[in-house]
Amino acid sequence: MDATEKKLIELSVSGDIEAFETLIQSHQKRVYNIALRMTKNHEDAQELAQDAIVRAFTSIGKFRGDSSFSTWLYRITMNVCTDFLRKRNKAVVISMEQGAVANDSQQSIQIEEEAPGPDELVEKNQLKKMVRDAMDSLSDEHRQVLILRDIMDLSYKEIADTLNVNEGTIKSRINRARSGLKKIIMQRSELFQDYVVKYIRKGGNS
Amino acid sequence: MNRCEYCLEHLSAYIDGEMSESEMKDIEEHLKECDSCAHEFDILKTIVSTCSELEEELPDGFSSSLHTRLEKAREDMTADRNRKGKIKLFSQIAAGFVIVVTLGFAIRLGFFDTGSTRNGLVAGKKSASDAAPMALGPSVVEFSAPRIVGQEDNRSAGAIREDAEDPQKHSIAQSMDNIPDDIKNQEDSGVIVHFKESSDKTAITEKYNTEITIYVDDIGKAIESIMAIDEKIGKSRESNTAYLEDYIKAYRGGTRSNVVELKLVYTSEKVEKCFINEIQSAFPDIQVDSVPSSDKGQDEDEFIKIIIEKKN
Repeated sequence: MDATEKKLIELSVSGDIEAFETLIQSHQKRVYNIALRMTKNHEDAQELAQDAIVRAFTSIGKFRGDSSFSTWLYRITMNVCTDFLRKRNKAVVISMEQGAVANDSQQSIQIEEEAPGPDELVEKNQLKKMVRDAMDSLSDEHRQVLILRDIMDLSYKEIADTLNVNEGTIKSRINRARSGLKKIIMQRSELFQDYVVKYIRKGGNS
Repeated sequence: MNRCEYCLEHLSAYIDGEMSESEMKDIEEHLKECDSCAHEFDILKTIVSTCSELEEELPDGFSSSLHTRLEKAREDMTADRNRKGKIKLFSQIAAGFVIVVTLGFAIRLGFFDTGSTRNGLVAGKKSASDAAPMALGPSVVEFSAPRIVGQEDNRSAGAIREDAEDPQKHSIAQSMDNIPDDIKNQEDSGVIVHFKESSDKTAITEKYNTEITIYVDDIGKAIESIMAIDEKIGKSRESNTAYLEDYIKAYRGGTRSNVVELKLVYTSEKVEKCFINEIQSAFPDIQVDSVPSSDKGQDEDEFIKIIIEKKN
C-alpha cells in the first residue's frame, strides 16, 4: 500500500467522501464490470456496483491491509453479486442448457448478419461479443471463477481464498469453465476458428 | 493419461502460469510437437485474452448517483455512531409513568392495534399508582388516558410539554421529539426514555430483569470495568467474578467478536439497582429504557443481561 493510498484510506475511515472517491477512482470501472459479468445486465450491475462501493465505504474501518485495497473491494463486489444471484436464482430457476440452446439460433444469425468486415476492429469487437455472450451462458459458478481470474486478475491461491475452497478445486474449475466457454463458442459459430487464425496471424494475441 | 490428455487438462493452468517450471516446460515441449494440442492452445489463449478485455465503460451518471448514495450512507453511519448504550428495565409491573408515556407515544406511532392498546392502558394506569419512587402526580395518568383513546396527537404531545415542570419530565418531552428516528433503528419497538438523573428515579417497583446495551471502542476494557463494578458491589450470588474472569480470558485468547453478551446474577433487587447505578456512572453515555414485560424478557427474570457492542 503506498503512502497516498494509506492516507486516503485514513481519511475515508473518518468519513471523507471525496477522499474515498479518489481512492476508488481507478477501481470503480472494474467493480462495475465484475457486477456486469455476474448479473448480465447493466441496471443490476450499476445497482450492485454501487452497493458494493457503499459497503466498502461504510466498512473501510475494518480493512486491515491484509490484501491490497483493490482486492478487498473486488471481494466485496463479488460477495454482493453472489448474494444477489442466490436470491434471484431462488425466484427463477432456469436450466443453463436450455438457456444456451434457446439462444443458439439467434446467436448464429446475428453473427452471420454482422459478417466479418475488412476492419480489424470490427472483427475484434465481434470476437469480444462472442466471448461475452458465451460467458453469459455459463453457470454462475463457472462465470464467477473466470471473472475472478480474468477480470479481477487474481491468482489461483487468491481465488481459492476468496471462495474458501482448495486450490486444486479452483484449478480444475477454471479448466472446466474455459472448456465450457470454448464449447459454447464453437457450437455457436464455426467462423470462430477463422477468427482465431486471423487474430493470431495479425499478432492480436499477446 | 497420455500426453495429449495431460496437456489439455493443464492448458488453463499453463496459460495462467499456475504450474511449476518443469511442468510448464513439459507442456511447452508437447505443444511444439503436437499440432492438435497447439491448435487447442491457440483457441483457448484467444478466448482468455479476450475475456480480460471485456471491460465496458461506466454508465452515464454513475459517479454522481454513487456520490448521493455515499452521502446517504455517511448520514446513516453518523446516526448509528450516535447510538447510545441503553439500560432496559423489563418491569413485571412497569413504572406507570414510563408506560403511560410509552403507550401514548406508541399509539401515536401506530405500534399497537386497538385491542392491545386497551390492555396496555390498564396496566399502565394500575402501575402508575404503584410507582411511588417516580413521585409523579396523577395528572400524568389523566392526560394519557383520553388521548390514547381519542388519538389526538397534537394534544397529547402538547400536554406533556405543559406538564414539564421538573427537569425529568422536561427531558422526556424533549426526547419524544427524537423518538421516531430512534425507533426506526431499534429492533424492538420499545420506547426509549432518556434518564439523565440518578437512576434512583428509574422506578424499579417489582420484579424485573434488565438488559444493558453498551457501545464501546474496546470490548475488553468494558468487560474489565464491569468486573471492577462487580467486585465493588461484592455481592455476587453465583460467582459472577469467576464467570467474568473466564469470559475475559476467552475474549483475550480467542475470537474477538464485535458483540459480547454477559449474564450476571445478583442476590437482590437492591444489589441489582446498585449495579445499574454503577454501570451508569462508568458508562455515562447510556440511556434507560423501560419495556413492558409483555413485550420481552419474561423468561429471563433473574438476570442482568449485558450486551457490549463494538462501535463501528
